[in-house]
Amino acid sequence: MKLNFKITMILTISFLAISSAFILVSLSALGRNQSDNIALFKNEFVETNLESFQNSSDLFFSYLNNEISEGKIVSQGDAIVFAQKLDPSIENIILIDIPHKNFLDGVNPKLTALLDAETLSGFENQWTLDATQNDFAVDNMDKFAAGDASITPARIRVKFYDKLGLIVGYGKVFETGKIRIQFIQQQNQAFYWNYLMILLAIFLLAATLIPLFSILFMKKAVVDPIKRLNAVTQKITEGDLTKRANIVSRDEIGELSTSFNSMTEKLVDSNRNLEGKVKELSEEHGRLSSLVESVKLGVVMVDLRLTVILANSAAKTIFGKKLPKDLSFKDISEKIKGSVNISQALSYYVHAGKPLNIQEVMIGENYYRLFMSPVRDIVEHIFIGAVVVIEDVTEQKKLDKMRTEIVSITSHQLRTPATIVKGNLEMVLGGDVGKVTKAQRELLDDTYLGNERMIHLINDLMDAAKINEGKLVFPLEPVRLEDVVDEVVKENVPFAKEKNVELDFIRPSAPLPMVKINSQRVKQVFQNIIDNAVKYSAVGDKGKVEVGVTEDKGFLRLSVKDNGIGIPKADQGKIFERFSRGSNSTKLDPGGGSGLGLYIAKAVVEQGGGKIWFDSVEGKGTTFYTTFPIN
Amino acid sequence: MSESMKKILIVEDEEGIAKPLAMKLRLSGFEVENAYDGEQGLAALGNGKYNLILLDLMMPKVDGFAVLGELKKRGDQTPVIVATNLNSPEDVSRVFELGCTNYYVKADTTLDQIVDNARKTIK
Repeated sequence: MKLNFKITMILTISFLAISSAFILVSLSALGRNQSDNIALFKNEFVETNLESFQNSSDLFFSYLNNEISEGKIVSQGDAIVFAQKLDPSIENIILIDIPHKNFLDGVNPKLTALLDAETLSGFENQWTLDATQNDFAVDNMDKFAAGDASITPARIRVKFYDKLGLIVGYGKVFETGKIRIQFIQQQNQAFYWNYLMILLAIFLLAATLIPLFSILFMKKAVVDPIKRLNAVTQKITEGDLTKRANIVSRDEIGELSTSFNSMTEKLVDSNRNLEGKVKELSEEHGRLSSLVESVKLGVVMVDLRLTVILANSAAKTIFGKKLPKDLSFKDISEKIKGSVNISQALSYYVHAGKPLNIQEVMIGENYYRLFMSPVRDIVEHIFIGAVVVIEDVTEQKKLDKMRTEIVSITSHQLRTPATIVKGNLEMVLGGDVGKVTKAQRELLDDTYLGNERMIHLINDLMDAAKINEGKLVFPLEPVRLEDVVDEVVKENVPFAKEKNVELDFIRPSAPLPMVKINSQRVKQVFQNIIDNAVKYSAVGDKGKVEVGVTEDKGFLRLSVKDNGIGIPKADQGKIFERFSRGSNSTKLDPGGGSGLGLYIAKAVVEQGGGKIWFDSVEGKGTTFYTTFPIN
Repeated sequence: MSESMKKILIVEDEEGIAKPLAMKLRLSGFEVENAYDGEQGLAALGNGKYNLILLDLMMPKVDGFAVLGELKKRGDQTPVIVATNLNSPEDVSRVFELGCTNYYVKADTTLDQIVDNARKTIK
């Protein structure tokens, strides 16, 4: 049974009980009054004068007219006033309206009887002669009043009812003009008392039982289950998730218990999930912490106000603090001095949201490289600070310096013996120290070329090392480019002839504007390109290399076109990289270059503000272009 | 004045480099003297007069830069061609500041080119 239905029932019963009680109380009051009045009658017949009974509508008046000549009674109050004129002791008067209970409506006062004042003396209540239930009596009374001889007075009976419809008296007309009424109030009096007592008893019983029942019911249906539920809740709160509410009831409490249990199940589930998540998270946190700690780089995280919120041990070591948490932004900004304003840089980059790489700052005696990156919240994607990664580059710096020294020393050291070989061979080959036989010359020529190649390699390696360090710098001077080209081409003509390649430079008819270049370096570039073009065109009998210089949009452009083997597509992307050579080149250039020529050429041309590129089709030929800005 | 009258001082610590160079210059008609470090070079320069100095840079005791500095200090006007294998732009600009006339990279220069250059410089 649903709880609200139970409650409704209780309320209804209570309401009915209380209503009955009220009715009883009012009835008891009524009954008590009646009993008082009834005592006056002593169960005697009262005779009433019905002398002027003929005209029913005027009956009352007619009767009254015997005593009082005028006045129209329209209310009970009027009747009382009138009656009191007859007898001042009359307090109330009963109007009997036949057939209508309400005489005062005056609609059909067919027969109205007025009990004389004497009879009614002391009455407080109204008595009604109910004619509707006594049609016979009324009819006969009419006839009798009209002088019908067939109607005997004994046959006319009237009943008197009280307001509750109880018969309080019977009337018998026993002679014309007189009615004799017998009152039967005594039975009623007893009835009222009994009735009252029984109802009172019921009321008292109900008044006692209903609350008791309600309390018992409430206890069983509501309080007990709630208590049990509460106990279980407490157990669960204390962490015992195995407890369940065990309430079998088909009302809301039952539903609550079921919901409670399924909630607890969910709780157990989500607890289990949560435990897993927490474990996962703590594992991940552990991993991250060890990662940050193990990294040999200093890691410092700052929030948007540049407060240090995380720093690893490496950072602590760099900034000379005992504990990472002691590290403040002040320590960082004080230690990093010089060209970098760390606060400004950080706050700018924290808010701009771009990473920043600061090359080399000094902290104490050591060199460090700083990387700053804004930190975004993973979930909300807003900037929450920045991370500074500090790499100690002192060793790197030392190594760099050492490498530069090694390269320069080595190159110097290697060049020296190469120079000795070169000088001595020149003397021998020049015939300065005696005649050289043909066979000797052949061998010595090869030796000389080998030595030259070694010198070339050393030079290239040195240049590459300089480019790598960003130290390939050379002075620029205004030069007529076509002169430089002409010179290099002329130098290469014998080599081209030897390779059976036609090498032509079509010199522009009018002089071109001067360009600011480093002649020696640009010669090196041209030498490289032209040498390659000749070498790789030396196929068959029709090898041809065309060199040209033209003016184009503020630049002078050199082109070296050959009809050689071309550069395979696969190699084209990396031809300017260090130690890169076309995969098809080794056959025509078995000795091989250093693989650094074009790498150096690119650096030289770009340093002068120009570009270098090529078009090539494998098997058809290659055209190299280099540009130099006109000043 | 015949070329045999022209006197060249080679200041070069590497004998293997100095020897063929001296030979070639002599064969080309110059009078040649060798010094094998900066100290010897400066000593020789204090004793005699030369038309040209071929000066190495990396040498024991007194290096080429020091020799140039000393010559500048002495007000010696003898033309100097610096012969080096260092070939760094810094070194090149430094030797020109110190008053050298010309310079070449030994490994990249033939004896004939050196002779040519010497002739042009002395003229």
